[in-house]
Amino acid sequence: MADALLEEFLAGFDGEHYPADFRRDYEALECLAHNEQGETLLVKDRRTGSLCVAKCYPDVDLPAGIGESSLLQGFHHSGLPSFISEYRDESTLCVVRGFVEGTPLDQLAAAAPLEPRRAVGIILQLCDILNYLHSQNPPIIHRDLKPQNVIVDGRGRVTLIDFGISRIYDAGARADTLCFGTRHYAAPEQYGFAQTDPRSDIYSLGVLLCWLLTGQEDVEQGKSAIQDRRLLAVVEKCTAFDPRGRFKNALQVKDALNGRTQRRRALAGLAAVLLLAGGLLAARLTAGVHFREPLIAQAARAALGIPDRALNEEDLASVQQLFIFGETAVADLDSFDNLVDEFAHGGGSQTRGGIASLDDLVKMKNLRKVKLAFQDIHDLAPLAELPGLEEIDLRNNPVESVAPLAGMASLNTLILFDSNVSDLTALSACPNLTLLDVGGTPIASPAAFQGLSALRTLILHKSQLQTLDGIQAFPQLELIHLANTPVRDLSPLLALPNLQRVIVSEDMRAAVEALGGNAKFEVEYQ
Amino acid sequence: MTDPDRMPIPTREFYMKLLESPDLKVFFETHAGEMEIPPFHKFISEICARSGQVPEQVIKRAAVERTYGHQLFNGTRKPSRDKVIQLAFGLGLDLNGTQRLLQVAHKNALYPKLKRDAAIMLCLEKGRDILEAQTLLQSLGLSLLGER
Repeated sequence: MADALLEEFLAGFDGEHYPADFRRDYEALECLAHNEQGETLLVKDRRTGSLCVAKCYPDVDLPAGIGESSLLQGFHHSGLPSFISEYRDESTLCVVRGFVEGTPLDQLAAAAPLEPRRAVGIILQLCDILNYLHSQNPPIIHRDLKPQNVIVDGRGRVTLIDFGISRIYDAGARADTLCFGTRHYAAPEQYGFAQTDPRSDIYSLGVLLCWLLTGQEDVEQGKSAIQDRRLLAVVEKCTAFDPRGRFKNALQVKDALNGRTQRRRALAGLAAVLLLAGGLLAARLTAGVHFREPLIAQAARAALGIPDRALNEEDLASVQQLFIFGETAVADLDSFDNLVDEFAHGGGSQTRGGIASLDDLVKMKNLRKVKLAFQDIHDLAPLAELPGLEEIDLRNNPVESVAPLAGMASLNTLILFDSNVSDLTALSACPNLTLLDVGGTPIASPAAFQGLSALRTLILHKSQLQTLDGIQAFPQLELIHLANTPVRDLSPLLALPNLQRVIVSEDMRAAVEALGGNAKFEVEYQ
Repeated sequence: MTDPDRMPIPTREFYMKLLESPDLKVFFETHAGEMEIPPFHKFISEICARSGQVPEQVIKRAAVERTYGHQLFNGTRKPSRDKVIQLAFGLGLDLNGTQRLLQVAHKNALYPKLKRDAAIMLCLEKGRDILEAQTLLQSLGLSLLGER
């Protein structure tokens, strides 16, 4: 049957008209975009297995050394894609560049506008990239700066991609001959009545900032939703209709975002005011904060998208999530989950990150989600000062006592897999705690979490659980994970009215069969 | 897509409704719900409910790891493009259904000019199962679904 299918396929397929040596070296996995100018493909290097991006242009008239290929070859900046190679035959040109891991901004901010601090962090990184491009001799103008062309990786680092319509600024030309760009993001002069110069990219940068802050690409509509007056002024100046009214270069935008222009102007006066008013508070707010744990500083930077400057107290107050797995700090939950997956499928050992103290977290008053896996954390006391915590994940840490978390009203998820906790009764005053993972712990019976009556999901796999006696005190339970535990009597589970799913291991098959047909829940073998 | 009875309708059918509609405004008002892109996990759960399948079977037929599969159904994980295609096999979707599924997952559509995509498209169109699709990919020297 497979042979017939193969023959049928080979008889009907007439695609992939790319240069033969390109097809020899790369397998095309996915078409990322296509239009009349060509195709952008995700490809796999058959020699190394690594992913790359290929732009394939059907236009045979493209002379060598012109266009994206030559631009990419000249780039040496961490925020720009690397050139790999170029292939051509009589009908097609394929330019291969490095694949940038991460999420395009349009997807990252699709659900809701970003926190202002994170939005500004991304724009500041773009300022550095544009400054690099515009400082080339002659300057390189991207001309298609938009969310789809900005990739943010798991650590919050920004890369600008797609130089398909970029051009080198020609000081002698009066107007661009072709109209390129994307509606809303393209500066007015890109519609053909004047030559584009670096200020066209500044215009797009302003639209991008407006969109990140408000979700509006139409600046006129978006402006009314920008609360911060300084950011509003930056958006307005970036997007002035007349290029002469805009910031002259990306460094000026960066300064304005950092408040440096005003700071320079007001420096003398401010110093006096600070002294007179005993302005220690203001000084503290803007001074860099010292971290005990460098890895926590890295995670805070990743969360805020600020890779290149000292963090101050104001910054820390806007950190809502922290993700660290071993030695790696990442910006978001997806990246953290990917590290967990890699570890789970890799099956090897994991190097610990070495974080011993949570003191640095105390200044992050608005923290809601903390995931710090594979560290050396014993003491949770600093967390008691963070009442807004909703999710704590300290898997693979030598934690023993959860007493500091007692009474934490917003806590809904606690993951202490592979820790030393044996008593969780202190959490009986956490009314919203619905998910508890204490797999791999010395816990031997449900008495260890007596009083946690809101629990819906209970993970106990690889724990020392001997008995389920007393489990009926948790009537809200919907899922319980018991694989690789010594438990052999599952009958107490029959008393749980809402139980939907029980996960067990193969060695518990007899215990499952002993339930006969009485179980209303689904049993899954792992 | 909050109403489970109002499932997405195929593009061709949608286009016919547009032609039949007396007024563009009325058309947009009537079909606003169908034009929205629903969350992926709700969309696949609705397909299951409509076709009388349970996630467990779908996950198995999609050859997706079980825990990961359930995470896709409850919305805690976002699938890669390959995983979406695997789920399309698991759900027994045809090519049109698969393209819609990819759209809902915000992934790129299958593109017939690429050999790998074309092979997958043929298998979907012919109603082949995932094992047959993987066998074809292997015999063509292409990456298997879920391999990368």
